[in-house]
Amino acid sequence: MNCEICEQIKNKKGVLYQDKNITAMLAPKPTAAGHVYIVPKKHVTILEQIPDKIIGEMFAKANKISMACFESLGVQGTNLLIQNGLPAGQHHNHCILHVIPRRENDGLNLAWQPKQINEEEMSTAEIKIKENTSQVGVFEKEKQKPIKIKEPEEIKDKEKEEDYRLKERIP
Amino acid sequence: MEGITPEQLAQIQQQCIFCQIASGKVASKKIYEDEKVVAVLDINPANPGHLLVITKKHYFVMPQMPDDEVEHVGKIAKQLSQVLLKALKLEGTTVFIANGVAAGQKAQHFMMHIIPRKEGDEVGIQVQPKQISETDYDKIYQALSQGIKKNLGDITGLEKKSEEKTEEKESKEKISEEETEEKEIEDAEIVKEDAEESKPKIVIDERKKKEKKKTEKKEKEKKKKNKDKEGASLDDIAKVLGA
Repeated sequence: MNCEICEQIKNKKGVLYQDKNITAMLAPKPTAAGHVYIVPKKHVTILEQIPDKIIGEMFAKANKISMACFESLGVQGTNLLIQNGLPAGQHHNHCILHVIPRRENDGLNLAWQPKQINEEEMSTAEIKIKENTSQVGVFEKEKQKPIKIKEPEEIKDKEKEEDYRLKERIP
Repeated sequence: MEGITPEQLAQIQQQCIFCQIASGKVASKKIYEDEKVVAVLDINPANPGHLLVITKKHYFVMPQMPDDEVEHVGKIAKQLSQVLLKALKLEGTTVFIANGVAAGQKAQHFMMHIIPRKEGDEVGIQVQPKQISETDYDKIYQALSQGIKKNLGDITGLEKKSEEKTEEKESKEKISEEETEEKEIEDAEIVKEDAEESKPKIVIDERKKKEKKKTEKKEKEKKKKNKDKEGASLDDIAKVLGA
């Protein structure tokens, strides 16, 4: 499976920031000067496959990078954008959170025309969506925590054992 | 934006239509609510099911928000996108945030759009890739990476940093090895003393051997370190001379 983004993470070309889970890189073909991709390091195709913790971190880093765009590039605005799926215009098979710096009259087309939708359509959409929201706000928990607690306990046990033996020997 | 007094903020919140939607004073088609955000149906939707995620606190733009709220908004975006895909049988979603008028922000309150997408829906929002010269690319890279260092700390995981870290780890490991050796010697002493003090000479011999080994190891390490630092030491000398 060829993924341009995964290759770029390996090559470190244009990488601005990276940590355990996330890489931020300068877009090779930017739509505006300073266009940054924020991606999960592990290959993930669509937004819904990203673990909750990592998508949260991605947004936090995107916000910091957005601030950096204001400060270092002197832009007047930024857009954060996820194109999730082909009809949304997703080009790569790796999920990307775009940070796009904006300048006045830059000629970018990132707006939409509102559609005329009647009251009936609105309420059917509302009902359909509400039927599925029971799990929203329930986040995945981290699995690594119990392992960290075990380690110090084992060391303590060893110390106790040693002490116990010494006490036995003294009388 | 930061120089706003609490009284002014209260006034803004009274006038802000989105603060009133979030607090329930203005009627809306509410989809989801928790202590930090509210999700409602947009009254001027790009597609049926177009959602707005609004913070309960008043922020003009995202950079004003604390990290925990930004992270929460991200997680909610993922989950609501999932809900939309399932409920409306979509083929995709667009998650969109605008910071500043130049970015197309119309309201004075932070909000995130989640737009349902289907093939041929003519919504727009096109990211057109453009070619950029390598000199421009490098210039932007330099400027941005400095800004990001300021906001995110040092860039971790890049080559130089990782080398330094591995060196630190190695030295720590060596120290721990030495400690364990010392403990072993102590343990050995106790055992031998318990065994009626029969062969004290051997204990001493073992000790001496281990101490010799230790000193040898340390000398080797020192030599290594000096080799590594030869380049830097020249600079240090230059500094001293300059002062």
